[in-house]
Amino acid sequence: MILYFKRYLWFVLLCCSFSVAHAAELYVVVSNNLRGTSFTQGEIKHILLGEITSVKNARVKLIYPSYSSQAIVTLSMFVGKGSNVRDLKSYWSKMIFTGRGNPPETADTDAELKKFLAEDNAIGVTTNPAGMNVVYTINI
Amino acid sequence: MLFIRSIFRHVVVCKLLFASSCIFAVTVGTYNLPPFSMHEDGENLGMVTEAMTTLLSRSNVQDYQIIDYPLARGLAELRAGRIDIFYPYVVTVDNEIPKTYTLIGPIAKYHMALFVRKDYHKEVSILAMQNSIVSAERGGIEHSLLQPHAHHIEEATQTISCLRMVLAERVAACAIGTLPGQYVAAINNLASHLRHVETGDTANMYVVIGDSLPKEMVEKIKAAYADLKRDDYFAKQQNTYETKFQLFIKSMS
Repeated sequence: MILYFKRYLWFVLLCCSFSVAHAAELYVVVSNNLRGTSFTQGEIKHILLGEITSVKNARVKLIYPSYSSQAIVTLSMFVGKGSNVRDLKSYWSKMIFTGRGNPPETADTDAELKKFLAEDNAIGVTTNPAGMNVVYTINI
Repeated sequence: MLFIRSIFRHVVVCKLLFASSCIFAVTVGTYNLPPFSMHEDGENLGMVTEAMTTLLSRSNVQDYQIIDYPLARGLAELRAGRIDIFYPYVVTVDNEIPKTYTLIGPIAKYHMALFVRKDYHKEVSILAMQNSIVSAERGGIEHSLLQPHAHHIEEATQTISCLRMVLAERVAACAIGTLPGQYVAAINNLASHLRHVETGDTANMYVVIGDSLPKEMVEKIKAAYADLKRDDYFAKQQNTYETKFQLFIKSMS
């Protein structure tokens, strides 16, 4: 009976950890000049991969969360690069070395992100969008 | 039964067709050392790969394939005649090649560094670490550069394992090229735990052509190299590449 209970407990804990790991919500936030602009899921993916480089006829400044954050894992999964951030880095390595794209800036804190968003045409992602212009919510 | 035979025949024919379409006139081996030569996100990239592509295209060699190898394996493949060209080749005492082979270069310079844990506070240099255990990639360039200094070398199978041995404190330092070390550390999230010091040891990197290629083709490649060298192509390429590399490292930090 105890053995059965233990097994059941492990199963419940596993389910909980799985749901917590996958309940990550990420917000796409933009500069004031892009407030209210609507983006489709596809457009957001292309922007986050540096494939769409301009919005409203101006160059997009892309801001990623730190590569050591949990948010980058969610972002990586959303853009189709899987949960291993190495694959996302590998993608950017290809973009940089082939000259096809410029890498995103990284913001380690929300304060840093806000600083970037003070400039026009900046697009970033965060888990805590308080006081920022949210244009899209990523649910993984 | 007849049906199964027919299917089997089709499979064999398809395999033969596929195999014949994969035969290239020239096979080039490159050292799979990122960022010089790497396969990232489904593409072959890197300074070495770019240099070879340009050199062959200038020589009017269109029908070729590039395959990445560990250094020692690449040289073994060249000696066995399974590949025709290998780059980069570094001249050292222990890797003498047959006189019938052609060396072209030097094309670029390789700089060695010692990677240690960030919390390693002792002096980091070849001399100061002579009594420490240092890891280096088996058959790699650093292995040859370290040998004259009589270090106790612990062999690593790959660049990443060389760095991981440092983090696990199995060795005091990992001897590796400055750019490869930084690249591998950055892409594998190890950069924040490591620091590096350049040792000042350098190696010239050459293209080596085996005796399997016809003489005319070798002459064309030599002429293309001379043209590119005159245009300062390799130096300019290295500069452009280093700029991109700094951009990459900055973006990953």
